[in-house]
Amino acid sequence: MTSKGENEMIERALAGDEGSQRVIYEAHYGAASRLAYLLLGNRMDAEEVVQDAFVYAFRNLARYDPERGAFRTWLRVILVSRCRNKRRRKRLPRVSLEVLNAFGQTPEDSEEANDPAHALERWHRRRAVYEALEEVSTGARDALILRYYEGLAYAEIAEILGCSNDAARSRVAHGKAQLRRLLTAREAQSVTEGTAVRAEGVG
Amino acid sequence: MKGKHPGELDLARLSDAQGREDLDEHLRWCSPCRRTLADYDWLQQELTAALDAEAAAAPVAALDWDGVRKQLRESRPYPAERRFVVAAGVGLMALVMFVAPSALGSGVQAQTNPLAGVSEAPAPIVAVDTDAGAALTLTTTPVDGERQVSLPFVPPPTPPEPET
Repeated sequence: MTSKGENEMIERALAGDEGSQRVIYEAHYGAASRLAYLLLGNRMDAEEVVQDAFVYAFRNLARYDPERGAFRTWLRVILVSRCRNKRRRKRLPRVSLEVLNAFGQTPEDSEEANDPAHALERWHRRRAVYEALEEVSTGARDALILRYYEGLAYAEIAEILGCSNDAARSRVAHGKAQLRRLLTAREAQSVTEGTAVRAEGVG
Repeated sequence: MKGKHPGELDLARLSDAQGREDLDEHLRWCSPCRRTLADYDWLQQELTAALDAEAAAAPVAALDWDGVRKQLRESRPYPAERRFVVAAGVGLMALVMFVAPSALGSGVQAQTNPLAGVSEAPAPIVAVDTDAGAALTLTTTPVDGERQVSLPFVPPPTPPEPET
């Protein structure tokens, strides 16, 4: 949807047109759901938060100012804020690979399906990065997801997280530094464990 | 080695932003800094790929527009005509409660409030002591722990009977 078309939809939705509200909902639902899932790591919670964010957005549509930014950014402000509240209220469980497979999804894309060894290695590497990301402090984690998944500029991240541009930049840098330390520690641990296993085998 | 080592956070920032050329000279000669920066470049790519893969595999639920619409309808204010009926009802009630009694006059007010005009201070309760053969006395019940006082009751003189 173009920004002009979207603004027209928003005008109509403001006037109470449910058809326009539905079009807006359908246009943003997928992206909002995936972002909520990345931020929360839980399907049920992501679903609940997305629903809640849309209801809030439509109820408060009069507060949206197209001059200040895109509807997508405004919706993300609402969504991220709700995800943070949700996280505060409960400690979320991690989603295991089995759960993902149970939903009929595989975590690997299919472009290198002909090279299983390579694909498996790549999948393990990404999984390690994602698992390490779950241990990064929440403020930095949110900033990393907005930066590297959403591809947002620092000004947009700052608006969504309610901080200054410098703080947004700093959170991303801190997040990366934490992530690097976590991955280095894990690598060192796996090397130590591997050495111990080899020593046991020799002994 | 040329220049001071940048901090870890500087390198983390650098991997994501412009301005790398400012440190080019240092990086050319400093392999630890170069390695750290390369780590961050790799990490950034892997992080993007990991997040994309995770999002692609995310179990996104089916659209539930009906659920959103239901919640929106529940929270919607009453339509104008319904609001008018409610306001008219409230106005009528107010009319009945406040305007009608005053229109009917003070008699109704007195009936509805029999204690109107009565002093708030408690009046002493007066009892008549009728002991046989004794002079009638007025006994006052103490109020607020006040001492009981008995006053002799002297009957008024009887007027003389007219002579026939």
